[in-house]
Amino acid sequence: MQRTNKMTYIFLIPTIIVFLVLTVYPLLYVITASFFSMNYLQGTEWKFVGFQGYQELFQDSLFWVAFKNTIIFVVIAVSLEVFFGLMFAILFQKNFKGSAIIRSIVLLPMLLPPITVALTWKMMYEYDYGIINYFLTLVGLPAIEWLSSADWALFSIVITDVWQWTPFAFLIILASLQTIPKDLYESAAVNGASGFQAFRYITLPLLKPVILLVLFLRTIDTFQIFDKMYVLTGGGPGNATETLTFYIYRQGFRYFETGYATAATLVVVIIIVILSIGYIKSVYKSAYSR
Amino acid sequence: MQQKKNGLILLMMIIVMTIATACGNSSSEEANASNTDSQEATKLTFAAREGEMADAIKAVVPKYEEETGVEVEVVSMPFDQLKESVVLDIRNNGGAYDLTMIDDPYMPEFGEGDLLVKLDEYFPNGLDEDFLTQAVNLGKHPYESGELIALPLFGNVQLFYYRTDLLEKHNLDVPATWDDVVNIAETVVENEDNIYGYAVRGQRGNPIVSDYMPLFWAYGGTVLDENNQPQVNSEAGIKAMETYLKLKGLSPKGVESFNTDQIATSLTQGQVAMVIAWPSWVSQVDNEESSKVVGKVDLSAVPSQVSDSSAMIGNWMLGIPKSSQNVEPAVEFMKWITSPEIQKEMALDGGGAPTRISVYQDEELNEVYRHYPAQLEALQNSVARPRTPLWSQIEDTWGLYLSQILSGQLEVEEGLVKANEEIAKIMSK
Repeated sequence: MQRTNKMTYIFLIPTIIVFLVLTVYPLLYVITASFFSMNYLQGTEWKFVGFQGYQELFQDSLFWVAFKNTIIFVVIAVSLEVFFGLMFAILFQKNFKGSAIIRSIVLLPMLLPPITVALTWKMMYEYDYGIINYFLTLVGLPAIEWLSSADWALFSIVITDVWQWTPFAFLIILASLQTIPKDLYESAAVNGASGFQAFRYITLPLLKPVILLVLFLRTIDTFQIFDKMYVLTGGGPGNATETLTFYIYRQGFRYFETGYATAATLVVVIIIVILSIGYIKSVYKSAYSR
Repeated sequence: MQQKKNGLILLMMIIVMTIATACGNSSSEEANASNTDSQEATKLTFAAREGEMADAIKAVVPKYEEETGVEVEVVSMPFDQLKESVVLDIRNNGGAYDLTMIDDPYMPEFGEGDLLVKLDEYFPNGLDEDFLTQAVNLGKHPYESGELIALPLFGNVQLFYYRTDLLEKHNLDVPATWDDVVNIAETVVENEDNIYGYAVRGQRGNPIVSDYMPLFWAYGGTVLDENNQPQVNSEAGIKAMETYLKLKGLSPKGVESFNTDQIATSLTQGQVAMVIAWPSWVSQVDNEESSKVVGKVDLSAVPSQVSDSSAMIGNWMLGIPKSSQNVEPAVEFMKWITSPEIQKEMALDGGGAPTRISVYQDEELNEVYRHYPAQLEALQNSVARPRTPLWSQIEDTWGLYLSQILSGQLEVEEGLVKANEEIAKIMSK
C-alpha cells in the first residue's frame, strides 16, 4: 500500500515540474514584479514601490474604461453564445434529413484561428466595400460604421465573438441534451405537459449544470479577449474597444512598463479567480442537488 | 520487482537530465561557434517593416547573397509587432535578429535603453556627405550630436498629395493654408459625385498623431516646451483640432479607423481630392496597373497656417541589435544596402524613399518618380518629432485622446486638456 503511494508521487513528478515551471514560477514572478517599478526596454533597475503601481492603476480612468468595456463585452457575448448554443442544440437534437451535415457545418467557426476570423470579419465590416453594408444598402437599410463608430465598435466585436464561439456552447449542450432519458418526456406528454412546459421543467433543470459549465468556460476565455480587438479596432476608436488585456498589452509591450503591467495583470487574475470560485461552487451545487 | 522498478525510474531520470543538459549545451555551443568563425555560412536575419519597404528589401537581397555568400533572411512584421519582437529579443539576449528597422521617433528610446550596437568604430569618418544630414542626425544618440547607432534606410517625409485635375476643373489654386484645404474640400464635395474632399488617417495611436501633427505645427503648436512640459491643449492645438474635425466631415465614412492602406487606396482609386501621405506607401500613384489617377496627382509641402509648414521627417532607420552574434557581417550588409546603387534599385522596386541626395538627383529615377525634387526639398527642410525616450508613451496617449475627439466621444477642449494632463504625468515619471 505504502509502495503504491510512493509510486504515485514519483509518477506525478513530471506534472509537478511542469506545473512549477509554467504556473507557480510565473505567478510568483508576477506577484513580486507588481510591487516594483521597472521599464524593460530601458533596462532600468528594479525599484521597490510597494502598492504604488496598484494605486496608480486604480486612479487611471483608462483602466476603469477598459474594465467597464470588458464587463459589458463578457456579459453580452457570453449570454448570447449560451442562448444561441442552447437554441441550436434543441433544434439539432432531433434527427432530420441532413442534420448531421449541418451540425458539422455549424461547428466550423470554432475550429478557425481567431486571427483568421478577425481578419475576415474586418473585411466584411468595411464601410465602403464590405459585404455586410452591401446587403444592408441592397435592402434599403442605411450602411453602418461597424468598426469606426464608437457606439458600434464593441458590439461588432461581440457579434464576431458570438459567431465564433456559439458552436462551442452548442456542442457541449447538445452532448448533455442527448443524455436526458426520453421516457421523461414521454411521461410528461402523457400527463398533458405542453412542449414549453417540458422544456421549462425537464430540459432546463437537467441542463443547468452544463449550462453553468459553459458559462464558466466562456466567461474565463472571453475575459481575456485580445486578438479580435487587436486586429479589428486596435482598441479604438478612442478607447471604445479597449479591454483589460489590451490595456495590459499597451503598458507591457508598447511602453514596456513591466512592473505596472504585472500589477494590472494580477488584478485581472484576482477577478478571474473570484469569478471561477463562484462558478465552480454553483456548478457543484447544481450537479449534486440533481 | 522493486529493484526493477527503481532501476526504471533511475533510467528515466537520467534520460530527462541528459536531454535537459544537452539542450543547454548545444545552444551555447552554437553561440560560440558563430562567434569564433563567422566567415563560414553566415546567416543574417533582418527584421523589417511589412509592406512596400520589406518588399523592396526582399527584391535586392538575392543579389547580396550571390555576391557574398551570406544568407539574409528578411522577416517582415507589422508596425507594432516589429518593435515588440526586437526589444524583447534584445533584452532577453536572444540574438534572433542581426538587423532591424526602427521608426525614427523611437530612436531616443532605443538609444537611451542602449539596445543597439554603436557604429562609430565601423564608420570612423562618419557617414559620407551624400546622405541627407537631417536623416543622419536621427541615427545619432543623442540626436544630432551623439554617437551613430543607426543608418537611415528609407527617407520618408510627409507630403501633401492633391488632384490637379479637380483643382483645374473647379478653377482652384494649389492650397497654401489649411483654410484653403477646407475650402477646396468643400467645393469638391459639393460639386462631385463620389469624390470626397479629404481623407484623415484617424486610427488611434501613431496614425492619428502623425496625421494631425502637421496641422498642429502649422497652427503654431509645440508638443513639449523648453521645460519639457506638454502644450498639446494650447490655442494652436484647439484650432488645429477644429480644422481637423472639419476635414473629417469632408472625408469618406469610417476614417476613424483609416490607416496607411486605406489612405493609399482612397487616393489611387480616385476617391479623394487631397491627403497627407508618406511617399514610401504612395509610390504607386503613377502605376497604371494599380492607380486610377495616373498623372492626375501632384504633391507639395504640407500647407501652412499661422506658421510655415514643416515637413515631418519619418525615416526608417537601420540598426544592429546588441544581441546580434553577427555584428561585422551585419555592418557590411548595412553599408551595401545603403549604397547609392542599391538605394536606386530599391527605389525602382517601389520602396520609393531613398536617403541619399545623389539618388534623388538620378535622372532615370526622376523620370519614374516626378515628385523626387519636391521630396528632396521637403526632406532638406524637414523637422523631426520631439526627441525623448518617452515618445512612444506620449504618442500613444495623445493618439488615444485625438481619436476620442475624432469619433465624438469627447469635446475638443475637454479631450485636449485630458491629453495634456496624461502626458504631463508621463513626463513626470
